[in-house]
Amino acid sequence: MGRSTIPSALSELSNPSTPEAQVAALQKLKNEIVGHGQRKELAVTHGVVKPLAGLLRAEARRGGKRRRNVTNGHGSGHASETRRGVEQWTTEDELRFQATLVVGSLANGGPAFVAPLLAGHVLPPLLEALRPSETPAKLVTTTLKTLNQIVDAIAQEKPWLGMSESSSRSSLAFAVNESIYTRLVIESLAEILAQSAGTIKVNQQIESVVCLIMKTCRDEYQKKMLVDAGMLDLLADKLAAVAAADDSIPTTEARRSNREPFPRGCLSELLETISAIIKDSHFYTARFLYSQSIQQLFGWPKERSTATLEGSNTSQASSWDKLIPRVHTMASKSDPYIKQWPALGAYPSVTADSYSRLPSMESLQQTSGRSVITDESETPLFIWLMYVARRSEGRERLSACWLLALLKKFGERWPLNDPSKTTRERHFSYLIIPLVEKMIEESSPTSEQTKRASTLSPSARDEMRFVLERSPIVLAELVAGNKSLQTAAVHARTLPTLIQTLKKSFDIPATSSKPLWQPRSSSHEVKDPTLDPASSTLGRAGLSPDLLHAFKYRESILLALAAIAGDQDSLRKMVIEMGAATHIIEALVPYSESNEQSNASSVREGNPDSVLIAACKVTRSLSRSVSVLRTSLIDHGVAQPVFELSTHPNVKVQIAATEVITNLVLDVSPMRTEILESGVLATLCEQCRSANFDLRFGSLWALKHLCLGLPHSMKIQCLDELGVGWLVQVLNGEPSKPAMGTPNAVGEQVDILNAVDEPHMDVDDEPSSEEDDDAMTESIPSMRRHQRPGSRYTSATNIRDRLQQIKNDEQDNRLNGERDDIRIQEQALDFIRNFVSEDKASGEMIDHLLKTFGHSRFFELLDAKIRPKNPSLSNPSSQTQASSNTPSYWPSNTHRTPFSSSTTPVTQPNWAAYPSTELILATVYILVHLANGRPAHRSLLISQTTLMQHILPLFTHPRRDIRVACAWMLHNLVWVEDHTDEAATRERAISLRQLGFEEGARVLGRDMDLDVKQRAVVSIEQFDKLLNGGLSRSGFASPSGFGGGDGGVGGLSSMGGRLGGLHGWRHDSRG
Amino acid sequence: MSSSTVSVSATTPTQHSFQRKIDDIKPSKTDINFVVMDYLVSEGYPRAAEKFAKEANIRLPLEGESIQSRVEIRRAIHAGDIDSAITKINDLNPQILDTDSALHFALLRLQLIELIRACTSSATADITPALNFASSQLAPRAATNPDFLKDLELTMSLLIFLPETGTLHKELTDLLEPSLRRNVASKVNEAILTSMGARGEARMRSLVRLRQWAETKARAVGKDIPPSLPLGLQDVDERPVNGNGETGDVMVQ
Repeated sequence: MGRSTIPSALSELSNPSTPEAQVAALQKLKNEIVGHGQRKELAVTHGVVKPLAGLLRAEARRGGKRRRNVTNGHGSGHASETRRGVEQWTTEDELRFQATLVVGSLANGGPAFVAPLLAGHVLPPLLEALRPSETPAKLVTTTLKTLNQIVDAIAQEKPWLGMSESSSRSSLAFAVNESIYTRLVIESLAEILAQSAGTIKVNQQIESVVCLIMKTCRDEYQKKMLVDAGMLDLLADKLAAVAAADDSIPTTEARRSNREPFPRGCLSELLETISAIIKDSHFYTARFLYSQSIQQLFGWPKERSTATLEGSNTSQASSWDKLIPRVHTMASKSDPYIKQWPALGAYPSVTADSYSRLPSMESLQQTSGRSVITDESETPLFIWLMYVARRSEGRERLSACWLLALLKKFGERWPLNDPSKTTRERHFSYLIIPLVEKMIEESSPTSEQTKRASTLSPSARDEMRFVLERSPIVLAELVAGNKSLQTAAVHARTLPTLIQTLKKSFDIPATSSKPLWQPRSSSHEVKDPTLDPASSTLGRAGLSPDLLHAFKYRESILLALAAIAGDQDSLRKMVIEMGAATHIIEALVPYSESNEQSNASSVREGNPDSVLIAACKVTRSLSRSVSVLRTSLIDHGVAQPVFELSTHPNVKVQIAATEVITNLVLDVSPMRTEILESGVLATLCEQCRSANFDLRFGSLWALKHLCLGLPHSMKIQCLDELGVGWLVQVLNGEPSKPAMGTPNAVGEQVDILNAVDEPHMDVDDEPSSEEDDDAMTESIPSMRRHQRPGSRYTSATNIRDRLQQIKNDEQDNRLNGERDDIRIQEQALDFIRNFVSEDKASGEMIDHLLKTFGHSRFFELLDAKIRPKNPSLSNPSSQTQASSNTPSYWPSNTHRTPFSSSTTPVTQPNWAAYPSTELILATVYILVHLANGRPAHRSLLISQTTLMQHILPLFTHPRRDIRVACAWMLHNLVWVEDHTDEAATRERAISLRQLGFEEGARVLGRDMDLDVKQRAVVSIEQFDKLLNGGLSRSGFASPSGFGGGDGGVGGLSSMGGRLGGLHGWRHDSRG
Repeated sequence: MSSSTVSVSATTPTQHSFQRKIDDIKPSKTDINFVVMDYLVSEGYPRAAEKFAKEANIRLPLEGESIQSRVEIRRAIHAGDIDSAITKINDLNPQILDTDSALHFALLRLQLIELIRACTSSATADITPALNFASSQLAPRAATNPDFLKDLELTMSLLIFLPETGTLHKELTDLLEPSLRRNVASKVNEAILTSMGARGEARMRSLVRLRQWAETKARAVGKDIPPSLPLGLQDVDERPVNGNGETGDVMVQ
């Protein structure tokens, strides 16, 4: 019955008679296809896309031209403001409107329908229609809705299409994102967003833009584009507008005027969008935090009070505090609050007028408790977000928690005015984590609420899905790397719920929805040959929403488990005991394209890449526990699937798998042999040549672990496969690599790498002048756009400096390149160190290494890592000492003890000119191991005069680790192997004395650090014994000198191994 | 808040202590006005809202256009003209029916019922239109969801048990009741409101539920409250739908 109208509508569209007839045809078509998948299919296969696109294109061109003419005719700028309202709604507009609706309805059919739409070039005219100056408002709103529908549809695309780089480029998502994220489109979106909210139409437009960004913003280039277009500032404005309503201060007239009524309803989307932009970028987070509107409303107390000096009262700074219950950092036992802990939420603040009904109790507690409690408040923005999280529910609550988690992460890296770590931890563990846990429990498929979900409306069901997909990730982000928060997250029922839900995620059948019934068997009609095949053929069907949902929450639960199990063995054991291992292994199985045709009925057949990565992360977290490694992980056979993933086509999966392998190939791992047999050595060596830095880095790290304790033959094989040439290349760094220390603006030598460790901004600087303000807004173009007259912060310069600092740290390619270079060099040095370290100290490996590298080349390489980078640039006072041209660092004939005066700055070498500390440390440890070889190796090392001269200054290095390593090296160098070696050792001791090392040992002997001191004392005794016959001082040298030494022999050789081993385990501390 | 609606029926002869407490609370007039206005707007009584705005001297929310179309859609559904209701919904926002298949199915089933009603009204009428409609519009979807299938089967059985032939099964008579139309109409109204980013239902409804919940809880723990706490709104469902005057009355006291 209904079928007949589609062809007639189509024929009208392809052979238009009058615009009115076309409108009618489109309306008919729309009513036909809405809600009917089969008719949509029919429409597309009959070639509806081409005429639709043509219509949209023609109208967009005509409409744009017409309106431009109108604007020109008016001639005056302000006319464009009022014009839109009175603009007539023409038949052409109606035509576009209906066509846009039809496109949206087609897109609702899923990714299969988006493919022909894209092929028919429907997107460009739609995006053109976004310009609010050229398009009627109603059409803009509809276009935005249609775009959202398209984006929703492509979200159902099969995730494994994006397996490799090449295929991800052919994905629909890529194509759509590429068209949306162009300068013009983003500018139009920003223009829409910049409208002042108020009327329903504008609010709808703003909401649609916010949703569109929220759904599409994933990649770095997108974020950059949005931030450059001023989008982040606009979003911050909107957020501040919402927050201003909660500000309990009676607002002054000036403030009220620039706050616009904004729909509270889309607060969640707003928070989500901001989070999407600032995620994974400290710089963008800082841009958000320091955006004008956020600063104005939430300005840190200090700035705020100065800012409000002109007008209103002084108690403003603390007004936000009233929004959340007080959480006291320290409470004494006698404190009455202790009993109140469970009722935290019921404790409102004293002075708020709205609570005046309950005055007495408040003031009582106030006086009794105050004195013993450190009452540190959170920053106002955090307080408000916590308040939002506590006040609202569902999506909005979760979004607030998510933004809080991201901001907390930023605060850990770039602290400023943040409360102490304990205060923040308490706030999060008492106010936020319980909320997230509750959401996890309530949204889990086993909970009461979810069982009723089928009766809910679609939007409520969506919200429940969103909560389930997102809440575990929020938990993960909150507790990552923080032991006390991890513990706080675990004490409730969260862990069992998470694991149960993980299990559930595997029980969802892939094709949960049955196909539509067809009245007639679909006879394949002969297609009209004149139709464009690309735009009249359906694309690949997407996944069922249920399945996508399962994938998403599976991934986020795995990430939550990874974060919880990240740092504590007890929690790792708990995760295992609750039976997570089976499901984790199940999540390590990749989806393979081949079994799609045969039978796509079960989810058990595989996981998309994102789930694989998450599964690798949780495996890595768990494998940090030796006992878990030795029991359940091996029981479940984790090695094989992980190893298979290391050859996955997606490089991100490869990296994640390699990071797991790093822990699995450790000496202590029982899986080492199994994984070695499957050929991990060759794979890792091959990956070291990958174009991707992270993969190279991870693989070298894994090789470093693998190398430790390997039989000699395999070590040699490993070195051969890796190639000496490659190692040398890595150690030399990039040929054009500039020096680590670079002159800053003033011409001073600045060690950028070390400087970033102290990012504290000096907020006490003098207030900036007006020019500074201008300069700042100029340097950040988008800020200029939204500057309001009369508003500026006193610390604008500070903020600019800080933003610049954060930006450099994150986005400067050269800086990041250098940092990466150092990281991989460190791994290369550690690899060499583990290569030469042996249990038996036979020295064979050292011999092999020296042979393959060549003595001189090898020592030159090491020397380059411990000498000042560029002697000519270092300051004059240190030049004389640090320069390699000085024949003897400490002339042995003088009695001057340079180290005694080392407290004076004159003799301190310029450490900024040195390579990074990590490299020095790694190099010195190689020397420790070389000195632990055969006596001949010690002589060889001592004979490298230049190298040895460069080591000496390191004895005063500010980092204790380096001094400890130096002490160990010296200790090893003067060690007497046996009687036969005594004479040779004496000679070595004499050479060392000539090089100034005896003095050096004395300096170390006076070291503050016990480790250094004890090691040095043994060396001093040894020097004494060897050079002075050990007689004169024998009284002083305690008998334990020999005894301790004897013990030391055993301890010494094991020291090498242990050090290497310890170093290997460093992977533990990595996030 | 829940107690504020109770104040309407505050004149019980024997004053319970609870009642006195209620009397002591003076709910803010603005809040009450807000709740009333919210009810009138979301339930779609534009003229009553207009009058109320004048009477209470408050501003009418700026969504006149959508109230009007919601009223039209509701009227069409109540009148059994489902086809035009669907067209109007699609004119307003085609996404509503595209994404909410349950709602779309409910509407189509209502349309099928009307068709069956039409063709069974006289003995000579042809049932082919109803069959065609069912097979082209409802059947494809029914296969995807067991609930849909059950509903469709039940509706189709109307063709066999003709209404005039005698007493019908309760399930079948329900299908012919006007309350089904009303039910669907309010679901549609809710969906339209949600799609516009507003709350799906009037705040008053949730307040009444909250009050009910509180009363049940209080009784469960044995609090001292009067044996019956009437709402003062009698049976809301039985009121005529275009009861502009009545709703206004109750609210303004």
